[in-house]
Amino acid sequence: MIWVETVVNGMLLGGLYALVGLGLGYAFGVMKIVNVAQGDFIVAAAFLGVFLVPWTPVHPLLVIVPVAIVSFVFGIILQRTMINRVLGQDQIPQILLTFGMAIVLRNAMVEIYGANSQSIDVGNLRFMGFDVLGLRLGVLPVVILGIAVALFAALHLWMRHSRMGRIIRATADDHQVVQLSGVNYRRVYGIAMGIALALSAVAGVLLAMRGSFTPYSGADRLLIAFEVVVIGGLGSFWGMFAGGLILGVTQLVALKLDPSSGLMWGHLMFLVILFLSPNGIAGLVRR
Amino acid sequence: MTDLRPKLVALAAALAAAALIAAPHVAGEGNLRYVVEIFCVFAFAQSWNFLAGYVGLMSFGQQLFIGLGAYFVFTISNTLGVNPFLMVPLAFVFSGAFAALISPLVFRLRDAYFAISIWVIAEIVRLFIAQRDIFGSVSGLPLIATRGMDRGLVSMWTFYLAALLAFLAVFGLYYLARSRFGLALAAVRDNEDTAASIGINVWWTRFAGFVIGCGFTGAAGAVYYMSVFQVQPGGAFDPNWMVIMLFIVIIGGVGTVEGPILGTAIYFLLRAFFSGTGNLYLMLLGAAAIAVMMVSSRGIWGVFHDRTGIDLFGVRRASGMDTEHKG
Repeated sequence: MIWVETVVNGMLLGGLYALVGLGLGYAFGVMKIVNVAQGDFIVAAAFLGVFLVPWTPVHPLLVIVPVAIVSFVFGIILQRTMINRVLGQDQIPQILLTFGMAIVLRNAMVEIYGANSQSIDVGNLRFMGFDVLGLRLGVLPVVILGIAVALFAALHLWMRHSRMGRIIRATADDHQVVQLSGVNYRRVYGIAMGIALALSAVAGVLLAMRGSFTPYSGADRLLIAFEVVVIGGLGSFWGMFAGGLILGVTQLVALKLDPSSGLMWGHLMFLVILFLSPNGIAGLVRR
Repeated sequence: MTDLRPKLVALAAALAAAALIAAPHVAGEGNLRYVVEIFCVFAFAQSWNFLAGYVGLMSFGQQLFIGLGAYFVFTISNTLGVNPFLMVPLAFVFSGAFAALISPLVFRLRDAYFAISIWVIAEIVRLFIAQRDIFGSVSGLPLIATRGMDRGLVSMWTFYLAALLAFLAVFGLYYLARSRFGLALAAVRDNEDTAASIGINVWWTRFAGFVIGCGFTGAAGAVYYMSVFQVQPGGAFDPNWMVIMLFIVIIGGVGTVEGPILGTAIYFLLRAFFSGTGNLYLMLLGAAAIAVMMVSSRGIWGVFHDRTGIDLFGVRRASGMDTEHKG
């Protein structure tokens, strides 16, 4: 029974991991951009969450709304003032630019907040639990999984049915051709990066509610996001979700068997899946 | 008009070799140790430059090979009592072999995904080593074999090894880039399809470049940690190695022999000025990388070359990065 509980908890964590990967995967899907600073943005969003929680009305959980809005605006500015300027045939300038941002951001956070471990206080919610089918589950992890699933579904539906979603999909298909229909792809890229950072920011805040973080957590967050995207098959929504679940379950089961291993077994699981199916889970399904 | 440069480069190589051989007999031990560090960091940077600028493979996990080379020499030398200086060429082989082993896997990914996948493997190896007692777990390993040796002799041989690495990182890269294999690498980097159409085996060319570059990083990692007599998983597999390599190569100019020489000089100057400031200095490295990418992705040497037409070595060929800046 303890194993069932571990697996279920792994899936609860995995849903959040999927959300961590969603921002990275979305930016890649639309713009073929890999934002190497994503992990450190996630941590910065968590710090913003810590800062805003005392001013958040009703419930601390709602802090995700202002953090997401700030990150959305920040993403647009970032894309339009910096990343758009280095885009071209060659991927390297964009990757190195964001790598530089990651370094600056990480060390700025260490400078401002110190290297201590922090977390976002959500009051009693953190300790509340309930029983289902003989399993003891935490309320917070279940709520967080719910938010993750809701965001996945919302993004999926919005991309499918809204006018802006159509424009973004068209831009993702061919950003040159959409200009013939009067679309400014640089503007669309700005919005896409805004969405990507807003999603990541929510993930960062939720991670900081479930566990703790330091200014150095960005590297681990980026690696998780990256693994979710690659396991999922580079740009497949539900593949990413499955990738998150696999990583979450692997990590919790491994920590039970080998408590000092950290993320090692999750990383190994990523390599195993890459070995078995180069195109991730989506590739496996399509075949 | 015949190009005199190959002869001048050969002359420069001979002079550099003579100077390096004489150096330990002239310089003091303290200076020598500092030079060893500079040479090793330069060798790290140049190996990354070789991979990114010549092979066309950008890795964010080169600290993997620094750590592997170091741990290989420390572990074998400590357990078997072998002279660690003799192990350095084997560190090249070991790191190269490890690169060969992972390449079928990581070559499935492109660009940033390739880059980060090596970082993932570096994390796996770091976490693995940090848990194993034979590798000294988190506290690492000391180098035992050199304790019984004459100190002057140890520092002299460490210097010679580091000097050999730096020498190869300049002149070895120069001759490699001009060779048949170097031309094949450039062709694969610039356009895979065209390279394949003129009979180059794309996969094997890239594979060979990857193995050589990573092997070289490993040998340099071994020498670096031998010079400090102690290796720890947190330090050897530290992603900040990557930050330093990137800074040096990007600032100097990726895909050039000269750029990283300039970059290394700038890096050590900055470090001397800002050594007390900790994070501020790392922020400065990151900001400089951003600035270079925003202004010109070709780095200081690249811009200098464009303005003046000066090209010391005459091996620079167009890489993918140039195409937007031509004209």
